[in-house]
Amino acid sequence: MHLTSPERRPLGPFIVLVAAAAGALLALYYYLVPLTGITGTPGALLVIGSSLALVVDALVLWFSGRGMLFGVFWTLGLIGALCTVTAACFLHAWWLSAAMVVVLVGLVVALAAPSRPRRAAA
Amino acid sequence: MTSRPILRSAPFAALALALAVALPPAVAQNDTDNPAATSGGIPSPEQQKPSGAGPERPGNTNSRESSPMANGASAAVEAGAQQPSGRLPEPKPIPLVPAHPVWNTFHGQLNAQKYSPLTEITADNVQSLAKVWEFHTGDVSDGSGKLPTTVWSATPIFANDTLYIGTPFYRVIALDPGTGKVKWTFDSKSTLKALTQPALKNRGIAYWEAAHPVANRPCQKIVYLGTMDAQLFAMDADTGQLCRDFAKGGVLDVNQWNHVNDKYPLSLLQPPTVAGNHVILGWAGKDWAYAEAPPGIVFSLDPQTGKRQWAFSALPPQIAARTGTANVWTAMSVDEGLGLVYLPVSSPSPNYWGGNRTEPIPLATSTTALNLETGEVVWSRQWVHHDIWDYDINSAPTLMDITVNGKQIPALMQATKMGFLFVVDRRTGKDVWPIEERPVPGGDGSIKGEVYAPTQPFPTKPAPLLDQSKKPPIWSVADVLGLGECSRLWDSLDYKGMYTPPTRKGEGTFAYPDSAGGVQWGGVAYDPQSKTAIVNFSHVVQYIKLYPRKEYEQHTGGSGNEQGFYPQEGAPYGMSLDNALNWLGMPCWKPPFGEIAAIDMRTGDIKWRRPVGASQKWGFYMPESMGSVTIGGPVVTAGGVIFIGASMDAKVRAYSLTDGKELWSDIVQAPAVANPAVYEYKGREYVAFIAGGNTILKDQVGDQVVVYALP
Repeated sequence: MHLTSPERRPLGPFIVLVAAAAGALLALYYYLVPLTGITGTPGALLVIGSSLALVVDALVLWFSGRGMLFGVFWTLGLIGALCTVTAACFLHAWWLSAAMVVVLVGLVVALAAPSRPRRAAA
Repeated sequence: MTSRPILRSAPFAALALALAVALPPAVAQNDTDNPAATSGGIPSPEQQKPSGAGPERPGNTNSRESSPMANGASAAVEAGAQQPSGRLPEPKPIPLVPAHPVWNTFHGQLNAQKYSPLTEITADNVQSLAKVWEFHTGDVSDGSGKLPTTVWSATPIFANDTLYIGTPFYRVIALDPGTGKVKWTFDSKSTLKALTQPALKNRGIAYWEAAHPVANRPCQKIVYLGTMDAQLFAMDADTGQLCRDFAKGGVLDVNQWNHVNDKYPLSLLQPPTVAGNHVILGWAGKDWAYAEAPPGIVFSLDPQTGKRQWAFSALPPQIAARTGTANVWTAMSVDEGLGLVYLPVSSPSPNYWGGNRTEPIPLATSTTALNLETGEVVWSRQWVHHDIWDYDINSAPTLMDITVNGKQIPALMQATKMGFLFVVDRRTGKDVWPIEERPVPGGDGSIKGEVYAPTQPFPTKPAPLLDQSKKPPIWSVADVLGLGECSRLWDSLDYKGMYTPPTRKGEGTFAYPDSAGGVQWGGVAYDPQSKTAIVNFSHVVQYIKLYPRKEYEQHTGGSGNEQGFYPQEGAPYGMSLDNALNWLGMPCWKPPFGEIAAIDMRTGDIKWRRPVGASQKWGFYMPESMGSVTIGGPVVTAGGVIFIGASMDAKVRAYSLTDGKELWSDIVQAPAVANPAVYEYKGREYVAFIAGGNTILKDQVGDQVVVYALP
């Protein structure tokens, strides 16, 4: 099944996907493990949710080509990553902040990468 | 280091004469176990007759304006209250600062200095501090189940080569100080209901040991645990077994002395103060609930039998039944050399209306010095006249020997909720730096039956920790996000300075500092080497409104801890108390919300002050420059380090004594609202924190004992 170009992996969405997934795992760690400073707090729950939303966002970017959908989800991803990095800073969740910076880098890469022909699903 | 030149030079004959004069009234004040003879422990009017003019008039407050209510001596005569005798007991050669490191009381030492002479941990190496063990008691509740939430403010006691912990489920746990391994546990099986306070609370335990222990007999070393239902347990410090010779099988029912307005039990939430052969008990009540409440009697007990030695009440007997409390909420401090115990006395009932107690009550909201052996009042200084703001004196005064203008003075510093630090000579209660009586605003005529003190005492040094003369500035961020909510609130509240009386008009009275602000029960730490006092304090704005009874009853609404609606049942007015927050829960007043300061006690000047801790809500930390409201206090060591938890963010920290720089921190399970303990065991210095939380700060509870040392 070839949903994208077989020659090139969409690097930007891939970076976003990996970093957002890492962020979700880190947020889960902060929420569940004792003595993180934010164990069991609504703030930690919030960044779990926002990190998971960024995972979904990365998948949409991966499969959406360069159309309007890409634009919408790229913008949503940017807002989500900025808000999550801000929240992570206020939560003193520094590793999560770092993951969100990588998400932002991935978004920039996705935008800067040359457009590629979109293949229909097999 | 101690210096008592006057006492040293006092001729023995003069002391003997003074004792001979002092003894009869002192003995007359004593009572026995006979409740009928001394109902509620309140000395009878005959027993409360003035005991004769002492050598020193209590206090020497400078009056800028004549104030009958502010005049302690005349007020006491009018009210028939206990007259301070001014007679000092015979001094004993016991230094103020123990010769060896001790941490065997709630405040470390009986002088309440919270000072450790240990020097292994220093400002240079504290960054290497590491957790060496932690222990979870299991005695914790977040209130979501059948049990009320827990509030745990117990400073660990290090004694008998053991670390003793009291828990909010009213158990005692004896731990190995080096490893945290359990030596023994004791379960009082006390009722786990919020009978007085809204949470299950414990502020620790107390320890006594015989000066001349009898070999092969138990209970030569005793640990005491109080419960919310007014039972005092005494157990052998080596085994945890009850001391059968103490009261009835090791348990004393303190409620047997609760005869006047016995609406609730005399909750023994704070540890007794143990000095010499005395176990001295204050008790905690139920705030803002009743106009007529149990009078705040302090009891002294024999440590081995529980037999009552003496009792003290700040309320004159003819007034006691129609008011109440003026109790001692926390630990007391003791100068064993001078033979005086110093009581931080709270306000009478109800807290925000005084129409039932229009006579002066000069020993309420005071620091009162009693003869340790007899309970006789030696001197007293009232810090709020006719208190209608709940400005309880809630921390033990810190005893310190200082030199001011070349003169050595055995002094004490009394911290207050008002943000004032009163410094007086602890032999006489006289000012070290002038304390002035200044005019304060009266009422607006909306409250029936109320009277107002025309003046209140203001210290000239140290400078007030808070500026209580005007409303603090509004925090623009909170105001913008609240769409002007904070500005509107500020405009709607009356404020003519801290002593603006409660009103029923408009939105009420602006309360700054309020009953949860200023300095709380952690009190002041003191480094006797550098003569530096350390104190943490909070900036909190609330607003108070009184409601006529019918109007009050029409109101519904929850009442949380320290805020909401409260009935003041029996008074013509109920009340509300709310935090000044916007709709997002952000404080309306400009940060910092909490600070820590160092004061040079040679000059009374502030050496440095800085925000302490960080505020936290829903997990989000605010910048540390904003500080945190704090509950709990600091300790200071000869290594030049200040340790403190106390903040909302559930971190424990070390600051430099020299300049206040933060040197180290760690995250613990919940806000560490007890003072830390510093002790030496097998040649190693340890710092112990209790991370138990307090709902006044935030809804985060814990059951963690955590101990740090250098690797």
